[in-house]
Amino acid sequence: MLTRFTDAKVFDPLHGEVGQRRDLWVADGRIVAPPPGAAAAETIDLGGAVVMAGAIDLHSHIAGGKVNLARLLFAEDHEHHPSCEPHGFRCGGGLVTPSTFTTGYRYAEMGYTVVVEPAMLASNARHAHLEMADIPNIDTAAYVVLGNDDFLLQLIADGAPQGQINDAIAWLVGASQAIGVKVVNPGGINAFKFNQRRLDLDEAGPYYGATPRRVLSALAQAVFELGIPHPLHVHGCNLGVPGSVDTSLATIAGAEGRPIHLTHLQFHAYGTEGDRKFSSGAARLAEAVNANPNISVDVGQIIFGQTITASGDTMSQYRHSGHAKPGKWILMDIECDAGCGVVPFRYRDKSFVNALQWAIGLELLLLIEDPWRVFLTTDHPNGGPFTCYPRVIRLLMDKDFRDEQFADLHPAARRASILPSIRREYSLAEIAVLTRAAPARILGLRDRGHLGPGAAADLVVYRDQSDREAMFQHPTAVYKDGRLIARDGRVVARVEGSTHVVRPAYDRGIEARLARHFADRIGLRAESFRIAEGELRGGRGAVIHACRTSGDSP
Amino acid sequence: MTGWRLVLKQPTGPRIDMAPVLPQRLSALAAAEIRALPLTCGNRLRPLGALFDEEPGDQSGDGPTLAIGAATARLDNLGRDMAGGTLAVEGDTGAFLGRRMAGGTITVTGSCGAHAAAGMTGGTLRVAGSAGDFLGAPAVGEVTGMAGGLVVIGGDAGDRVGERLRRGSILIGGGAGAYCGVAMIAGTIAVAGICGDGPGFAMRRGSIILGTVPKRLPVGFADSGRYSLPFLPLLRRHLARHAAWLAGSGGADRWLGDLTAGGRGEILCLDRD
Amino acid sequence: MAEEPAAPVACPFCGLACDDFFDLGDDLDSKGCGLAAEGLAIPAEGGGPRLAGGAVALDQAVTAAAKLLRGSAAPLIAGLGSDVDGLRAALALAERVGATVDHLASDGLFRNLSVLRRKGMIALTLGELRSRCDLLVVIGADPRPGFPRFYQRWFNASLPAPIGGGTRRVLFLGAEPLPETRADLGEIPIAVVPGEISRLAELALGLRSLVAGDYFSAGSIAGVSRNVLTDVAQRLGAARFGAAAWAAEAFTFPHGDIAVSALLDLIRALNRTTRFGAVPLTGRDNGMGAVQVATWQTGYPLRLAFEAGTLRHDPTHLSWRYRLAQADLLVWLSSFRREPPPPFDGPVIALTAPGTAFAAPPAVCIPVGVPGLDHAGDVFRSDGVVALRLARRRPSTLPRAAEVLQAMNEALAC
Repeated sequence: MLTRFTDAKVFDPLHGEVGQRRDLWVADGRIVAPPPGAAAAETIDLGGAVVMAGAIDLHSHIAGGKVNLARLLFAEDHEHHPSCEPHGFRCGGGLVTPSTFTTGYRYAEMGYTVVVEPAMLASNARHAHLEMADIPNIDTAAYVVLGNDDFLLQLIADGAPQGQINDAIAWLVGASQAIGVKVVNPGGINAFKFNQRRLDLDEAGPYYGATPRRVLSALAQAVFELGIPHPLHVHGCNLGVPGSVDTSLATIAGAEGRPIHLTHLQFHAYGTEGDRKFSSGAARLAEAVNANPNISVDVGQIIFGQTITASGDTMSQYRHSGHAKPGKWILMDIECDAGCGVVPFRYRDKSFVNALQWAIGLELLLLIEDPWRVFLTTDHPNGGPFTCYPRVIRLLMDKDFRDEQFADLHPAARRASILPSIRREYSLAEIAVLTRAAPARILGLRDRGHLGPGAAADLVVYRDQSDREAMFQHPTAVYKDGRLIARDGRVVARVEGSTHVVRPAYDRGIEARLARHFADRIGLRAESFRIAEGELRGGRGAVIHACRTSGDSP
Repeated sequence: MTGWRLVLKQPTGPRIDMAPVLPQRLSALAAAEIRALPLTCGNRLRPLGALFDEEPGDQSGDGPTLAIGAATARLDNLGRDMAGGTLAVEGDTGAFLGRRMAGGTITVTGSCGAHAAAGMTGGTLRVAGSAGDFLGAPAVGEVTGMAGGLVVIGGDAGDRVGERLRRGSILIGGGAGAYCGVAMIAGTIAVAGICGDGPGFAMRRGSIILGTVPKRLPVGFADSGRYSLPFLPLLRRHLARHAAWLAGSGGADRWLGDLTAGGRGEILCLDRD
Repeated sequence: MAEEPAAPVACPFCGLACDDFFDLGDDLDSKGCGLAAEGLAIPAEGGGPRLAGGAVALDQAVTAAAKLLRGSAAPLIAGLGSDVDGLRAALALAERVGATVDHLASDGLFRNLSVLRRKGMIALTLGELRSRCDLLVVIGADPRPGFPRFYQRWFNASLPAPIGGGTRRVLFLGAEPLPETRADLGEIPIAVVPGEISRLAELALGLRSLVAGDYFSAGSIAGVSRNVLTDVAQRLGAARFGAAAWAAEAFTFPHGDIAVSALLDLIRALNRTTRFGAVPLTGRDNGMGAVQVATWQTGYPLRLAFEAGTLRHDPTHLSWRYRLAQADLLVWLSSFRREPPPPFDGPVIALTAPGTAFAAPPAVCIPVGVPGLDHAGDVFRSDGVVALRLARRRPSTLPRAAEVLQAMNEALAC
């Protein structure tokens, strides 16, 4: 069926469109070129409304073991935020730990159509995929978390050639049905299992003797050489520690030009200056990011209020467990593979540290110049719930609003931040880059994040309002693969999403060693661990994205 | 008009969620509006008028009042989130009586079910009969129990009275079940009759006042001798205004614990007057 | 649907979900496991659906069930022994008809869950137990009967040495190990500290204070002398990576969750100086899967009710045992075992493994396939982290529970 959307004000940065008014044509869930002479079965007049591609969130904890543990731990979130949907849509609830149906609906209502779960443990991957299949209205994907598993650490300790490391990672990406690779506190989670409580970038870890720098470089190199579109997704060492800005700068330098993505950088951007030995490292970090085109980052903006932190970084979560509010927390060591820590937390604007964290996130978003290399996230739910994105967008686009919010902060935090001196306001075109075009590009999703022919017809229609929060909170219409799924900020249809993966090639020679590891250490067969294509999305399988071959440029 | 009286038509049947039925709210409504108020009964919504007969209630009080006549254990969540006014229940109630109650007064002539006073932060809850398990204990997932207010039970209370009690007082005229005051953080629990197993187990702070010497205390309690400070008579006089059995000037034996939880709470066994 | 791999596959008959039972092309072999043998003995033929004992076609049974469901004011969906797809279908049906949902083994699950939700937990998975643990403390009755291959697969002398070295030791706290357990463990040094397990809460807190260096005066706790306790506390503290395993289903003494809470306090105290974690042994009849699916779909781990368009959760009043007295219709789901429904005063819709013996013929009885024998599916292991894929292992005409429940749901939609 051919649908014609007339008079759209199109923001499609990939094709250089910044508010041009034109018609859009959709057939069978895809955007098509204007077909000469063909008549549309349906014509929808947009009357000059803003149209962007569906938004893409490249880092939001929406599914898998630690997310479900967070739901369990935070029973209050579900009692206080029930969510009963229109009949037949399935109910659920939760604000910072939303259930699967609620997750899909709330994202779709804001115009998001693709969300990446950033911390899928290989050993928990089947669970993550079963759960993602129950998230309606959005597409999903996941990064598999590696670099604390005893298998790769042993390979590194043995001085295995990079090619073998590549093969192992390719096998693990394929077996866990991932779209990319993430490393969390490289080597640190493993070290914590040996009762080590801190591990710096150049400190040799226990038993395997590998430094986090060595683990990072092995993984970054592997992801690059395998041609996985998304660069290694790095949750660095020393999360939340004053002085972590130096670790982050060293990590950037240590990448030596290899592409890496530094995630929730705000949590790794703290200096040790001032009376309270806690200061903003945002300016130094932004300068380094601006100077190194191989680096991309997402921010992990914090939102004041109650949330819960769910992370693979057991070492840091244990360190922060004393700050749990309410006072309860979970820690798990997992399958010679990884770990998880879940700690509820309340960010307060009257707390010096929290207020400065808030300012640091915005400083990063505003000081990093290239919107193609910085992404808007709250590291949901760690910095705050994803439903606050429209508010953050307004903070970026509206200097007066930003100043107003800033005025409420803890006074010492205000003195410690340069935020008021930053005059930059994001344009709509830049927001379209930040939330659509750039994440699609960095994930390798070639048919998402733009509105050219062949793209998926994930369309979001906004009324152009000066209150950007209201504008982005309630798009007037959201289409997923050509189907209307939300209107005026309320979900109107329940559709199945897809799961996106990559399948890097590898030499099967690695399988014997993997099989031995599984038999000896995990106590399961490697084949039990591998997720078959037919298991995904109730048998519908995955959308497979191409890896770069040697001829392509990154 | 300040008050209504609602009389339950059928003593048995699917449970009714009474959370929307609050004195302050109903006092602002006309009879027809009250009859139309939707209530969850079992797995469906029913208009209040299908479940209750309404009539004008006590007009004498100065605040909003609401009486529930012929009440039975079918009625859950009575007085939930109540912030003021008076709720007078003639008969029994179901679970979660006074859930998150912040102010006002609830009286029950009969007995109440489990989880009464869960999350209560203020006000007064009086039950003439007995109370079920988990009186003043945390609701699911909550890290603390009752955090304020006064609960007076005329008869017995079930297991785990005042679990993780944060603040406030729970006075029980009869006995209490197992694990009375388990893991309590602060506040006061007083029990006239015999306590079941494990009173004060894992308690951190606060006082458990016992009118009857218990069979056994958990191992983490140490005998700290006679309690003869002048504070006790003052406390007794204060509490006796709500529960007459606490009147008297005698001293008490004092136990300190639960040491195995690193706690420094006290169990006071009152002298027989 | 894409082709399923023929092997390997996991065994669904306890929370361990062993994946070494079936080799490609081999006959089904229970490897000496009594629970697996029992499961494998379930016939592939169930005699077809019946209404009050009389044989009918599946669609007639579904129609009759839908009629009962439509007329019910307080339906209860319990048993809930099914794979992930069956659980999804059960929850969808529950939402449509306004039912209460709970799992057969939820008493044990909730002893752990209530503590996890109030205070949290420090836990580790079976793979960590196998490859990193140097001291396993088994709390309470030996869990071997419910988890027959626990020691064989996860902790014994024949496994490769723990990562980073060290010697495996095991301590049984509260009860003697079974003779079979001693055989499973092999050369591993075994210490046994018998005690009054009903006073486990006091015992655990006493150990906590010895580990933390807090003072208390008692000379013995739960029948264990202070000297022995001090020795145990020292052993616990000396472990490099310790694990405390318990089957909460066996904590049937009053308020077993308080014992779990005290064990968590002990584990937390140990983690100040070393690493230690809980290994909760649960999850029979895919109970852990039921917790996981219910939690991700609703936010609540079972004991939940869909009522008049709302969702309610109440671990005390929505347990299936409690609700039996208030429900007017029971949907009983048991696809891993021939577990008949409990005595119930009202119509029963039974979706059970073939060959289930009923005290009285249920109003509607639909024999369903066993996941992992008659059809593919997914189950969760006891630790809740690892989910395993089950495959179809034999020719079967039995419907999947998920299909049947979905058919009832669809019949109610029109």
